[in-house]
Amino acid sequence: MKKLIKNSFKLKFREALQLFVLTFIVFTVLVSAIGSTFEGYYGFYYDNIEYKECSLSKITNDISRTNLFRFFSVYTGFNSGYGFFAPNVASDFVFVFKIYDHENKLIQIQQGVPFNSKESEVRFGTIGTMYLEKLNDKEHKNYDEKYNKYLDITIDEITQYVKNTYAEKGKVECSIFLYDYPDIFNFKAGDREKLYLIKKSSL
Amino acid sequence: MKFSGYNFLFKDSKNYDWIIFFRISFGIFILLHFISILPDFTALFSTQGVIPSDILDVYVPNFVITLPKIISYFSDYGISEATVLLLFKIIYILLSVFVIVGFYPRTVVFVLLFFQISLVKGSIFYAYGVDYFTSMSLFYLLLIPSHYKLSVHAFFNNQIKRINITPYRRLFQLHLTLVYFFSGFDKVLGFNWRNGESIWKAINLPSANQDFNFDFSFLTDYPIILVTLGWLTIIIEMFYPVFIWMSISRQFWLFLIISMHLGIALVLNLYFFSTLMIIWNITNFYFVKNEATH
Repeated sequence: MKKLIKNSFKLKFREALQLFVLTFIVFTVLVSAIGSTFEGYYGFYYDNIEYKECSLSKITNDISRTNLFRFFSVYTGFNSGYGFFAPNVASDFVFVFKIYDHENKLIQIQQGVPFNSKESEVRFGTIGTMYLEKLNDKEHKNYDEKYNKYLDITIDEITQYVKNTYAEKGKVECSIFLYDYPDIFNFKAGDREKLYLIKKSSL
Repeated sequence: MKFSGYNFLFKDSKNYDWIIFFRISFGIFILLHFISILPDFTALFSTQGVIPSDILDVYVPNFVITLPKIISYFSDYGISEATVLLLFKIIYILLSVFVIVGFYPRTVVFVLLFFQISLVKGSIFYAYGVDYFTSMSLFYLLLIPSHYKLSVHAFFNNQIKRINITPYRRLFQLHLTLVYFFSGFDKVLGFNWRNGESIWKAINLPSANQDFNFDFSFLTDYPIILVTLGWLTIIIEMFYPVFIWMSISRQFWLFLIISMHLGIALVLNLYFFSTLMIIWNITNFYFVKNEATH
């Protein structure tokens, strides 16, 4: 009888522990997912427009800023949102490098940084998100001088890296363009992709 | 008398096939994913990289131990960056192999999770969806015992003490259903998904459709196809939590979602992300037998 009670208690304790883990992780997933949904929604529909943040959004933001949540979610990947390509497919960026010789004569135009593997190209392609935030902040409401300088440094570093890959140590000009593809009706009318210059670096 | 919710969460189905499949397939995945970036490892993750790793690391919170911090720490002891990176690569590959063969998988996964986090968080601007799902996969392998079969551990131990892993299986399944629900819900919020414009934009991104160069210009004559594809994506994802749990529709919904990921792989060329999502789906909803799932 004593053994039975002991086993029964052990089972209940394990189940309670498993239930706690399950609840905690589902809660973490929900907080990240709801937070990301609101972020995407406000970012898409209220870009540079004043809006009143709903209380659920505030709560999820408050929770996700706590040290425990941040630590756990960062070290487990649970800080991921799940709105893949939603609510809108984000704009993409194109890096174009113009390589000049000692006499300042253009010798090559190169698109993107040369990598050896497809996966590396995919990874490098994601750095556009760094500049997207800055681009979206049209009225400089979230202007952060330090961060803007940081972005400039990163572009200079990319330019320097490309420059180092060439034996000819002339000037290298890096231009970052916002890639704009026409919608289906404008495409049918003859419009094609446009590139809008957003940043230039020359070394 | 216990209510059915109890059975759903705690009834031990003695089904371990799914977690064995997950450990082996994910182990192969993480190994291949790491090998795929090896030719550019220095360019992406070193201080001589495209963006030097110490610059990439500037805005990372202090509590995250990143590869640039590890490099800096060892440099204080006179160990060069090249040595640290070489050791990092060797250990990462070894740990991935240990996951595949089931050599102390939970201990190995704990260390591998630390390595993976230090790599991707130290270069957060290069990170995308696949990295988050890799971290979460490692976390699940840390949480759930996966050494009961087809492992070095099982080979040398005839009597392994087994615990009921059904609650963790339910957690993993619930998580996946939430992933798709929110993915579909976020899409339905965007008018561009409802009118098909997002599909058009996605397939025409400069990074997309590079490998097979499909000609999608014919779609301009049939915009209804784009609208249908947009709504189909929303429906498949948003109703995943409903139809994947029902035994009558499970196989069909699994087929739909795997087809969607194959489409993403072929058109958007996101091969690793698609592969990992397919692994998650097969793990959670293919090996369902004698389980109280509905």
